[in-house]
Amino acid sequence: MAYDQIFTLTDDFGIELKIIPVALNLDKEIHLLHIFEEDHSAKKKFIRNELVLVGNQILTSTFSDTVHFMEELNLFDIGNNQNKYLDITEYQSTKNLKLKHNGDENIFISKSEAKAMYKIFNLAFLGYSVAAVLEKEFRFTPQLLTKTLHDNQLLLR
Amino acid sequence: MGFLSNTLMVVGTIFLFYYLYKIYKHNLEEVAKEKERLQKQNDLQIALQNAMNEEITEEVEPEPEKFYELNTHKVRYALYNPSFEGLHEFRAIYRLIVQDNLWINEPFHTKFYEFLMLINDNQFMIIDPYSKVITMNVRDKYNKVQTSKSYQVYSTKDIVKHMISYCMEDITRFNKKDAQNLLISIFIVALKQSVHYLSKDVPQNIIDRMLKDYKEAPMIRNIVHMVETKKEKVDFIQEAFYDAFSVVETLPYNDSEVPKALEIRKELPQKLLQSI
Repeated sequence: MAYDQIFTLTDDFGIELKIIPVALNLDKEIHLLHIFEEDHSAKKKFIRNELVLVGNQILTSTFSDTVHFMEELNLFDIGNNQNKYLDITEYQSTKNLKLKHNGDENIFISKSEAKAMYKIFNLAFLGYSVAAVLEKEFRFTPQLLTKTLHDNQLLLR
Repeated sequence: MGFLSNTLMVVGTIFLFYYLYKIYKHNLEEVAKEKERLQKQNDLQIALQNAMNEEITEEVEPEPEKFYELNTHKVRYALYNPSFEGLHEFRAIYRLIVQDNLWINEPFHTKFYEFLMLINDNQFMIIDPYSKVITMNVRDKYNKVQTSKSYQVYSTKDIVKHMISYCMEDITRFNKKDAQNLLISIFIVALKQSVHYLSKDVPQNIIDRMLKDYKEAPMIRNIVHMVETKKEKVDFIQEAFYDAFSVVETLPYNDSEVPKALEIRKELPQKLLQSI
């Protein structure tokens, strides 16, 4: 986790939330944006949302979409054309996943990369309470997300 | 006999001398008396003069109360009132340009004010050349995935405000007509770089509409062309534009909102007579 890149925002109830990008794959610039709440008195951390960030693109914005993305990674070539985020491609009889996104460049994910990413995604929950994300998931609007990024100078090249 | 006449002559001579002496003495006294009299008269005259002078100065002193104030007003000019018309942010600029230079000649004055209103009423923005563009697939409140782009922008309003105050010193070195054209061209340069917040109107259309019927339009277009081709004479405008980027604050922007029409006031506000 990159603690130097941590930034904060507050939810509707005035609770401070922290956002940390967790690197899933540095070569392909795929990160998990880990949004959590910290309760210092109870010494507990609660996950409030997980977003998938690919390059300069927020691919999923809700927890269910993120889990969906991860399961498509996990299925790898067992997945099919009903996949929402990843296409299965074949190059020189090797299967790869191709990211469906709005960007110009093609991003391919190999089997080992997919497995590693899925592993890190699961590791990211260690030490956190997951119940909070199911009960009171923190939802971003495009405006709020833009403002948060701007406040933390993340819109600057 | 001879002795007697001699004695008589001697006595006569003595008597004559005595008499002459008496006359001389009397004369001296007369002269002294006359001098004294003249002196007295003189003193009296001086005293009189002094008294009169005193009287005059005494009379002058209370005089100021009797002065009538001249019934003159400060010169009043027909000016727009930015505070009344919601142009609070452009109050200082209006004062700097129109009031300080007394540039109230028409049609410049009104055209300048029209540009101020256009930029004030519409949220034009200039995309920060150093901004990242972040694409986001975010579910909206209707649970639909919306793909939008976020980047940071500058408000054209702030950029124009900075450019005008930055350029004013350079502009006033030109003659009045050129200076005024340069000023309008600052708006054009900034508008050309702008995109309209939430509207699909192309800035060029807006510029054409604003310059239509303005008699200095060809000159202004010429200046804008000079700025674009980086002519040295007007490079302070480009300089001001880049300087504004380093000074003015950036704002976040997301393009997911519904387009909005351009706002142009149909009626010009009334000018009011104001003293400066």
